[in-house]
Amino acid sequence: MKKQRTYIISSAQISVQEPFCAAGDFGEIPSGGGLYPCKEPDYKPFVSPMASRRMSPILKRSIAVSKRALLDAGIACPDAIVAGTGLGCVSDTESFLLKMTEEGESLLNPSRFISSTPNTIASQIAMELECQGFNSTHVHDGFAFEGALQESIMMLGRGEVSNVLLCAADQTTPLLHSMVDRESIWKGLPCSEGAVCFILSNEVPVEGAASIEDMLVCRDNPLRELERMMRENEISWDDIDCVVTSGFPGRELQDFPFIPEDKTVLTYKQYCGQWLTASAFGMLTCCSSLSAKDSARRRILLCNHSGRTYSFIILYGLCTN
Amino acid sequence: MGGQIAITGAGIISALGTGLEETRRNLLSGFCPIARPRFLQTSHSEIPCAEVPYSDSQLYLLCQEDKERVLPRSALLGIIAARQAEEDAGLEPGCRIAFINGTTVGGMDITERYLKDYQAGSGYDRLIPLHMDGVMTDSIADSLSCQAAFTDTVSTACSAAANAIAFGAELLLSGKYDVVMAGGTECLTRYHFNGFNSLMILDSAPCRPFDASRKGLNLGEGAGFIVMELPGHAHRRGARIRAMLSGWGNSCDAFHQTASHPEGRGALSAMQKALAKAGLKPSDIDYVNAHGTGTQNNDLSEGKALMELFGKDMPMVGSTKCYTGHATSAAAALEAVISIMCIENGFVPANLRFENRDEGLDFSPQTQTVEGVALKHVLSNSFGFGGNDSSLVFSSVSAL
Repeated sequence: MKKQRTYIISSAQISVQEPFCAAGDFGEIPSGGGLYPCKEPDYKPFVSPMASRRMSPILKRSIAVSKRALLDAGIACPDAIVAGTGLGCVSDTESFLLKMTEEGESLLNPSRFISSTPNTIASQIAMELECQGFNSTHVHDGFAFEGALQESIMMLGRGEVSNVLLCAADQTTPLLHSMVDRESIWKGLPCSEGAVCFILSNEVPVEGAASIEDMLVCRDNPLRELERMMRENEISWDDIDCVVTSGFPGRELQDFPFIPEDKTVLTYKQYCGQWLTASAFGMLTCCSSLSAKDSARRRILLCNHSGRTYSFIILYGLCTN
Repeated sequence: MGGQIAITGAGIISALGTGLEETRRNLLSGFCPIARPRFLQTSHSEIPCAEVPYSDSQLYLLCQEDKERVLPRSALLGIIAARQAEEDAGLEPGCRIAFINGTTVGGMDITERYLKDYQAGSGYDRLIPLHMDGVMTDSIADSLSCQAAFTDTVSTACSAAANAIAFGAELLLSGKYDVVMAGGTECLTRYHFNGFNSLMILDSAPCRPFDASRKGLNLGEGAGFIVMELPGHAHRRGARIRAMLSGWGNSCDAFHQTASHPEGRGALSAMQKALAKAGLKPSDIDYVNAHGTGTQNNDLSEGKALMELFGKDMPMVGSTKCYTGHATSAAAALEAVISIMCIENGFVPANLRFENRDEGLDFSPQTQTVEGVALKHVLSNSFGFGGNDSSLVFSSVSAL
């Protein structure tokens, strides 16, 4: 049974790359360890100066990519907002936690606490847009983006909404970096951060755009689950032009030894570094590749892995000449 | 018409009790466990809360986990409730399920304990990832006899578990999974105890939802999980259906990060969406298990939304947070299990400590526990910071 596609109408990113720049202009970051912070845009067009002063960087970035992607999509207010974030507003969490730990439990100011819950991202976007529609947040670590994407796709598939604003964001503070740069976690990897927004729709766009054919997240048995999804969508390995993985260059297939050897395999983390919802940046890169006019690629399999969990997203280009 | 989802299993642990039986007994007897904290290490020990009456060590024993496996308190609570739910549903070991957890604090209690060690690099690095919500969710999933093929964590502050249950229902309707376990877990932490305290919305006495003199909420903790299937699947495997999940709705106030909209616009819209999904009219609802935290702001705006929805035909309304405290991200899960319990056993628990009606409201909550009442449809509300408002409708099997 062929399933209904989800169309990606527009996207925007703020990351270690130039803010809002297209994937074609991405440059590689160094491959060693270290913290590579976001390049910030001028936030004046997106957030009032007063709001800007009290907002943490992750909120400003999320609102800016959301407004930029909506503008490109020609949509003022989306039907639903779904966010994915591994650690949410971690600079606010850190600030309240450190103050409590170092100075004790009296005289704490609530403002950092208020904005520290992960759902602050989606609810602040809603407030900025005055969007009273569906609003939810997925926080499943390295698969927070995939959970949010799964919910968006199901909502669109059931026709309950015609478009969804999907925002993925994570922030890496120096303290957080010092904690994840450990042997058992991300030691030696280029750690970064970012915010990515997609406007998704169940209506076929007039101009060419990429689409999502199907996706899955699974724990264990990745090949069995992937091939089951491919069968359901009547897709064989021959139909997949390119595989994009969450590995780094030179270690593309380290976590995906089951990918057939003859497949072209690419990565995206040389452009965005490591962060919990970096797979959203990966999807943006794939979409750009599929919608390029001269693209020879029609279908990309985007793979993510962490611990026991894998995700697979099948992306298809609508307009490739 | 919405999806009709069969609920074939439930598990619960809160200050009120462990398991369905103890929880029901204590609800019916009007037992109020709200008291000074015994296990939470806080300098605000005069502020009452609704703690699960077991230390972490006792919880390890209760869920038969090896203490070498370091687990946040929210995971221990979650394991207890989730194991009850899988056993209650009679799921075969190895049964393929999706497991959806609502939480916010995750492993914050572990981070509070070891933060200085993490900063100093003194040998506890392996515990750092325990801070994350998803790691906590997976640690519960790993303790089940079912095989959680898909796990996810939803976090919309105090409505998180409602959105986890709604997402689980959608996963069933999409056909991706035959069985979904969803709910939420949250333990008390110094972090959010101090956060709520700094907002000055913690009552220094047991909370009085909807009462004119209400002074705030009491934080609670606990976990609740329900097992859901499509009715056909439940019938084929001969499962007992406790109740149905017939509707769910989600709206955002888009008004303020912590305050509810004064007229309860998101709350009203969430309830309307849930009713529409269930194919029900407001007059079909027999009991509203309200969000009813006991804060001035919530109870007034929720009350106004209820007045707008039900008009003069107000069903029985009550908050069970006067028993369980406000278990934040797990609240909707506790209240889902309690709503199911009320439908199955035909009772409505009293909204404790209500004396005087708020002048802005034209209704009073149920002040006496009633038994022997047939409840066809129960509406359960959960509203969170950020205006994340969600409502669920539970229905009796015979009502459909």
